[in-house]
Amino acid sequence: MALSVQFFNKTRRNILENPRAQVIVVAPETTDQYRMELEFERTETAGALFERVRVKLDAIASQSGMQDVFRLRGIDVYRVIICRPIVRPQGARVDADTNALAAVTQFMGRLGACGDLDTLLATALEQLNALFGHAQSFIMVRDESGKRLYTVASHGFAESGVGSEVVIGEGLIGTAAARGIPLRTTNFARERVLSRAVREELTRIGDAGRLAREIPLPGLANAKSQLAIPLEARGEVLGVLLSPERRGRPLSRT
Amino acid sequence: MCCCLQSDEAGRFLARDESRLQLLARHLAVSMIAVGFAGGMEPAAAPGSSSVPAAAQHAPAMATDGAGITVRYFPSDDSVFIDDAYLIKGVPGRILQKLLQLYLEQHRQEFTNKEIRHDPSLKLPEFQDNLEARLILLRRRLEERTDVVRLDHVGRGRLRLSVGRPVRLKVEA
Repeated sequence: MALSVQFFNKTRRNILENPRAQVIVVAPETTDQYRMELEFERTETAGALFERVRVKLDAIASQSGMQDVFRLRGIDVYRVIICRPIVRPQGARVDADTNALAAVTQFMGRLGACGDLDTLLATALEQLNALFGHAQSFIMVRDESGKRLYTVASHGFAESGVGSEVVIGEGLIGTAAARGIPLRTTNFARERVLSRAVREELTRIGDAGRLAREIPLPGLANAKSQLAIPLEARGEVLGVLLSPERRGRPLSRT
Repeated sequence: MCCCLQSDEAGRFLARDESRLQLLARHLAVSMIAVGFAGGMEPAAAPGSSSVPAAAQHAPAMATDGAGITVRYFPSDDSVFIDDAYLIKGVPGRILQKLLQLYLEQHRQEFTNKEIRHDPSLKLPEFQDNLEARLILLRRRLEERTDVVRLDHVGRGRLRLSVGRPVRLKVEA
């Protein structure tokens, strides 16, 4: 168990004096809660584990414009003494999607039949919906400068957002592209505030009579969480596949 | 059989969803390379089509009916506005301006990716220019923003510009 260290606060001072702690964790897949009793072991300031936490934190900080505020100083590694569910966990998960492999095969077959980029991208997004229930998704690719991504195809949004741009290295999408790692935001409240602020800014510029030259990203407003997956081949990131998840979307069917 | 999903299931499939999407994304990326994205070879134009000079092509009738539109081009950032509505900027803006200019001056409607790629005034990078993706973007934005100008894919490596009403191209300072 590792906890991030961003600030030297009172909690951390207490831990260093008295190395026992108790934390409550929530499993995102099930929302089950567990109480863990921990014993502090060491602080890491480099290495694989540190990097993994740092990349995620950077993405979240950048998403909210706080990249200069949140700096990961280290991660505190604890030994887990005991881990107990707070309420009885739900029964064993039944894998409802027994046809998963068949669906993946079908997806690959449909893509294999596409002879040009336009058909390929449109087909991929349609099939993500038809076979896997991702009703909304979009694809961004690198521009000529290699510094930005732009939306080239989208599916399921009222406004397609085609032509919208992000800077590689900034925000969730830009970080996923820069580092070549999948990233997810689940902090939808913050994201919603952000996207509203961006939209208000765009409206304001429009109202002021200036010729706005920005296209908003597809549908962040109602997203519950947003998943950004790098499109990687031949050792380079070609772009990013985005799939926002709406609150209450049925994630699987039998 | 139908299984109703309860609210606490919202997050249940997150992890599996994520790894499955990664698998699909990886396959999509490889497929993009396979159809020529990112520096792949441009598909050759179909036989019979061309970079034939304009005069040799059938000169289409220019649109003369209906209220005209003004396409405004700003060279500073290659942005294009249709009347006062923003359409696109950057590389696709530069391409549209060029195609409209050829349409207005030489009455041309058909173009090949190859001639666009080699047009020195468009300043496209020689490698990995992803022209195909830029043309998809331009086509979509036109579809969404105007019914006067269309750009259609008419076979491998070929494009047709259709103009429904009179167009004036204005280069802004």
